[in-house]
Amino acid sequence: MNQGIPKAARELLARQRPAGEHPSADMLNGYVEQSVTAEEKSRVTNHLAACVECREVVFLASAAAEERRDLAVAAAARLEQVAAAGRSKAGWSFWRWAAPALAAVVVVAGVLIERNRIVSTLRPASTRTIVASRQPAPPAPVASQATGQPATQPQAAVSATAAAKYASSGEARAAKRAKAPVNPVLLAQQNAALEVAPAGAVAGLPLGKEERKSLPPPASQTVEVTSAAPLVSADSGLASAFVNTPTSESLTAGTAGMGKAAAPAAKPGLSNAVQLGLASHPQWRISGDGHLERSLTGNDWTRVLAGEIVSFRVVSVMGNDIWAGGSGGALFHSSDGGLHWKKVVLGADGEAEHGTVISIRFDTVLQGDVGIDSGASWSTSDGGQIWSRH
Amino acid sequence: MASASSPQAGPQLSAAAQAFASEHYAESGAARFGMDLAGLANVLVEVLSQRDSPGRQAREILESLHLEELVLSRACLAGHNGAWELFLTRYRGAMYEAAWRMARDEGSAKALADSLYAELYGLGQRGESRASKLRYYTGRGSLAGWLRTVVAQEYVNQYRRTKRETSLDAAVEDGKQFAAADPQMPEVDPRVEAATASELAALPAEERLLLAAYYLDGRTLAEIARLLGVHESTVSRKLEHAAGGLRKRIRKRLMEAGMPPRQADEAMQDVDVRDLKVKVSETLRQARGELSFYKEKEG
Repeated sequence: MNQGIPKAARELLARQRPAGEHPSADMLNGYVEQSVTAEEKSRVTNHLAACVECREVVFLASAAAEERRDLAVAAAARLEQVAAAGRSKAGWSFWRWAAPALAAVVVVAGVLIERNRIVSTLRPASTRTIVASRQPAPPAPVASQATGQPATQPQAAVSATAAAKYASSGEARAAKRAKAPVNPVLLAQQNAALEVAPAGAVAGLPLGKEERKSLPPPASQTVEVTSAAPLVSADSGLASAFVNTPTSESLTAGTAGMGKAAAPAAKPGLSNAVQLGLASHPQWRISGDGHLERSLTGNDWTRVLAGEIVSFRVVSVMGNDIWAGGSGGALFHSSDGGLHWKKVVLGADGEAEHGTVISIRFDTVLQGDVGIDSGASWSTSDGGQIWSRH
Repeated sequence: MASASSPQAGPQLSAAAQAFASEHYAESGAARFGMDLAGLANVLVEVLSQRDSPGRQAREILESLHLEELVLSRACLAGHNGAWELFLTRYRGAMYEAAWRMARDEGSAKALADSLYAELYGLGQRGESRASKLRYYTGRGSLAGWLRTVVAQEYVNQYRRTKRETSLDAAVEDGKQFAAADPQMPEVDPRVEAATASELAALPAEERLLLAAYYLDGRTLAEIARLLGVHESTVSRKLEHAAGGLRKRIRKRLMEAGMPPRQADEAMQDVDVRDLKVKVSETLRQARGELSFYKEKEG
């Protein structure tokens, strides 16, 4: 901008007052997401030109949406920074908030180092994705992770173990008996991260120590990974930073202690809520040899899509919507909790994807992204009918 | 589960809603919340009745809905436990993240998001029961985006309240009774003001928005580009065009009003593009205070 506008013009602009009432949040969000009609857009634009408050709202909302997408990259950069600085006290301060966000780094690291190794979870609050490896390794005991040992098991498995612990705890049984209605406000205020790793990771929100210790298990479903290969290759800078930092430890401690921590202090509404989630959703996993499996009890596992010649790599759960992907560009979707499945053709313009699906992320039942081991990604905004490659 | 059909809803709206509900019932996710076909149709009729979109066909509006998220919000409104479970699972992280991105402070962000949860759940600050804010979501955009916008509104509301209280306190402490003229603010030539007012009024709304966002609010090209969904270079070009055109037209008006060219040029020189005293975005980040909610339009 080489030239500005006359001061008089700025003063007049500043003195403008909008006519009528402020547009609703629904309308402003439609404007930000560009889903309003031309007529609505014109009305909102006219208002925004004269209303500094609504301008602030749309810019704040727009920035928040954008930063959410940028979080994975930012987390990777910060991780490198902290890894270089070592495990200083300042580092601990950083890890307080970065702890859950580090799950994001797994995805970034997976792309950066281009390895077909295990990549774990960074998913938006709406989805929980489990990624498995076909390279087995001895599982690390949860107890050792909880005491600060390097994490050598996928975090999702840790979460699942904690969830299973919780499910079998006395509190969970008590919650099952409880008839009190769920109070989401209590749920929100008393527990910092309902979504455990994925929500915290995406949010990047600094959670207090007490909050982290009282993290409840995932509310709507539990998942389990039997593959116990290392999280990422240890010869990567990012990877070694990840597995050796306190992040894994604090995350694991938080999640592994959930059952115990929640038991004595849990409110009836919370316990009931968590139990509802545990009881009403099956658990999913991908076995070490690439099979998709489901369990209603956590003990007996049934192979799903057994007739498909696919080596599964990832399963993503969002309520009753299950997505599973694997070799040869295979992608399957169930919208009824796994009762019925539909094979989804991942491709566009007659060109089908043949790479291995290694990540699935859905923000809603309609909008999602699928990552391929080649580094490519596909996105859909209509629940998988039409895909576009990136 | 579903609200009753709006009395204003015409038979055409009802028919369109019922047809759409039949076609999209499975994908809407209504069944998992115990909402039957008639319930879904009622939700759609309610949304159509709320929309003030002249010239837009009901079918077109329905096709543009974020249906599954709309159903989830209505199931939450109806008090369905499973719906609240799903809502919290999906959106809690995003809510806190948005609050933190805006407040940049853990305590404020948590207070902001928690307070909003209370409103979403239908509780006031004193715990009294009232209708949930979720009733204002009509599926125009994503539910996550709507939540971010509501957080932003609350944040701005908080700032506005804090600013008002601070200004009042400062005025009382200083013993000020009346606003005094700013001695640093020079008198503006009435001809310049008149010409500027005329030309500003003639500007398209989008250009006025660009000028206000850039020159008043101190927004960067990148921020504006992100909001408008265009490239930064496009914003830069539009801004140049808007500012340059405005200057040229004001100068022309001044000269037509009898102002000598040199004086008109001096009037145009009276600029300092980014010298505004208050940068709202920065000031907002320093604001802390008791929470209150942005008042939605009732009805």
